[in-house]
Amino acid sequence: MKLKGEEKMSKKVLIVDDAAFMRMKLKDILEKNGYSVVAEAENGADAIEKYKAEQPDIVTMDITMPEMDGVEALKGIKAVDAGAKVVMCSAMGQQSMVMDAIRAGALDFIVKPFDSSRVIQALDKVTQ
Amino acid sequence: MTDDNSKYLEVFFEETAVHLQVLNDRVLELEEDPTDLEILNEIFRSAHTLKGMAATMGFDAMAKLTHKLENIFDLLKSQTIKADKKTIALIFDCLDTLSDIEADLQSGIDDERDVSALLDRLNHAAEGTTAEEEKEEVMPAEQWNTELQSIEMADMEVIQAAAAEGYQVFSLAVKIEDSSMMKNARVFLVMSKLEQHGDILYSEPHAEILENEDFGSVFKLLLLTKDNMETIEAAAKDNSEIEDVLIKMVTAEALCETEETTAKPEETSSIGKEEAREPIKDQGKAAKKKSSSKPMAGNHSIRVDIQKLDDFLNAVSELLIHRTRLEDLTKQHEIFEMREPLEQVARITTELQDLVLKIRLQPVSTVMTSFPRMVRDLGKELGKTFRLVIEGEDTELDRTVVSELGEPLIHLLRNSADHGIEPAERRKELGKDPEGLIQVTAYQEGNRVVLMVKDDGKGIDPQTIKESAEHKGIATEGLNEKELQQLIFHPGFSTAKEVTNISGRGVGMDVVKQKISSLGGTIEIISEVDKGSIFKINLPLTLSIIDSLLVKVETETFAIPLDIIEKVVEVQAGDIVETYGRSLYVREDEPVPVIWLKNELDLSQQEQSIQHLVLVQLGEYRYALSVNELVKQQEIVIKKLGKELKDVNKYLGATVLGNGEIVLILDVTAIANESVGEQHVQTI
Repeated sequence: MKLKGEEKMSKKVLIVDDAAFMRMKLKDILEKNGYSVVAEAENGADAIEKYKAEQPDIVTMDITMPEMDGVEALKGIKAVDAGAKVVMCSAMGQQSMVMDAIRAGALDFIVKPFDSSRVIQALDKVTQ
Repeated sequence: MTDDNSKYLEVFFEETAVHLQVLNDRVLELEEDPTDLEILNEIFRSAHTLKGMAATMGFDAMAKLTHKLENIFDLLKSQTIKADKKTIALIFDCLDTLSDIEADLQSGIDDERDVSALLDRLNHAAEGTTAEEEKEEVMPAEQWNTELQSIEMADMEVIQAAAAEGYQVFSLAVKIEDSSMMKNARVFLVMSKLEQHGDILYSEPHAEILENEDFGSVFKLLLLTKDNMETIEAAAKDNSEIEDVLIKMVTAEALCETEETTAKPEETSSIGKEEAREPIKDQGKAAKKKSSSKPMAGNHSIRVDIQKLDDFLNAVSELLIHRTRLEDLTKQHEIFEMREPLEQVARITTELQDLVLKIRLQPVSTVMTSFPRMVRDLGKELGKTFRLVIEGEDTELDRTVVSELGEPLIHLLRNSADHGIEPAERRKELGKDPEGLIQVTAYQEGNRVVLMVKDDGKGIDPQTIKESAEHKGIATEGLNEKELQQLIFHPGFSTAKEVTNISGRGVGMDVVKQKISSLGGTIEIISEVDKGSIFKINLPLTLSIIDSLLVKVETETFAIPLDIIEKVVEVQAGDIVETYGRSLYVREDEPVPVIWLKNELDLSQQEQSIQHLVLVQLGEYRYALSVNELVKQQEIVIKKLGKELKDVNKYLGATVLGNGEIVLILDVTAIANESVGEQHVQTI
């Protein structure tokens, strides 16, 4: 696991979720697996700002958020950087939103409740 | 869930509480306006987030309940069902149970609450609509190969034409991991990736079935592409949660051999095209309504553990004590060189102190969030109609004070609802609005904060109080109407003829007064028969560092909070008159009752003549405290007395002076209560 982490050279991640609880949980999973969480955002607008400021290698994007939802934020980020790598975080029952996100350029999605290995698998795929 | 989630518990509880609060608040609003889509969207979001969090923590009962609840909100949003009384009641029941589960979890009980009855009710409420759980259809056995069940003539023509233009056609079978969730979206993702390499001609099962997730874990498709087989295989495999991929090149001839069917043309790539759901469109609107929703922490704030703040405050307090000590020493030894740097230290400590006090301020709304729901329930329970208006909920107080305020305020609210507001008929007779009004108002006044609980009910009749008091053996002689009304704060006093479920829980107004007093505050009642009552609470902004007057009673030094002191007078012969067993200071416009501190504080009677009276103002009342000597005015740090001394009620706490001496801080309200109460009893 460690070796794998070093190979990744600590990819920079921006975590976007309105629940601090989810951010903590995700951050833990990611940091245990060699990712470096460089910023967190709690709504879509914040996410776009943080993306511009931090230029992360990858973004995990919650879908349901107040102010600006994840799909809109994804579009916003894509407008800033067409090559942005965004993985959506979805809960059950949000298929259509996930599909919208994929259409808008999301590279993958993970489903809550998070399973650590799935999360890492998805991020590894996207950043390889 | 194998992850250890215990370390997230704190945040989980914190956010769960916020979401439950949002739900309670918004559902109350929904009850008023059952079709407001903005409210519904916010409700839905909160329920949704809650569900995700509960599921992540592995709290099954909570996750199941929120899941069903979310379902109901979804149906409300699509107007499939209506937010009628029954539905609202059901939602509130669910919210209550969720709060109970949360409380259980907080106290370490696992969430094993039986929620099946509620789940049944939720299912019932959603009945007649297609509940998403109920669609476990029998699926055709899936074959793990690249053989396609049916193919159309039209497709074959395309394949033939494409082959002529240098395209190839691959048949792919993709197996998604069994435990993978939201397989339909997974399919969509794989298809999107493949479409970057070519066109998907055909899928099995049909797009509609894939979209509805009515399939197992295998789907097959035909891809028209110019890329080679390895590239396509890699593109399909390069997705997470894909177990395996089979690929085979097909030719039109080979396909013709499989049986021909009449399936309708499907445009596979259009999965979900019609599904652009409403929530996205509504975001703009929701954003505009921002001000009325819960305040989100700004981008420039951070979350800090309360304990750290307390430690910070303690450290600053210590600093203050030692600064005072240094100042004392510098003066004693007349070290002039120390003066200037000490002044700097003093300036900085004052700044620090201001800062830490400000950091600890919390809006009173924190304890008021449950009030609207409580008042609604009270109305239903008592069969009365009244509304609650909260004003100035942004007013800030030290967090220790705020956290202690909930209980007394709830008591006052219950009291207003139960004893204050009359039944609608009676109100009509009096020419009042049949709907009662209960107001909670908060505002800052200088260094103190005023909180008022006001109702437009029947008020408190001084005569009723008088009779009741005499019946209970409390003396009422010489008391005017206002003073009679204050007797409701007397220990053991209750005007309720019968104990009701609402406010007669064995705790009286005296407990409220005690609590407020322990927070360094005062409470009084202003009431007029048939007009209403106002309970006015006056609290210090902070409990930690205050200005005080140090005085000597006999040989002991005590501190009196400066903000209640009106003035200090020197005592001359004839200033104090004894009447009805009470001592009165008569040099003011109205006589002021004298409190003999040495008696109240049980100090040895050395008969030193008292030199000064400290006149204090507690709410509307004034008292004169007898002291032997004035020491000085000083800023002090309040240290609470430990639990071992919880029965010692005459002191707010203690403080350490610069010279290391420990001084007790007088709780003047408590002392005044006891002193006046005793004198009344003595006169019977």
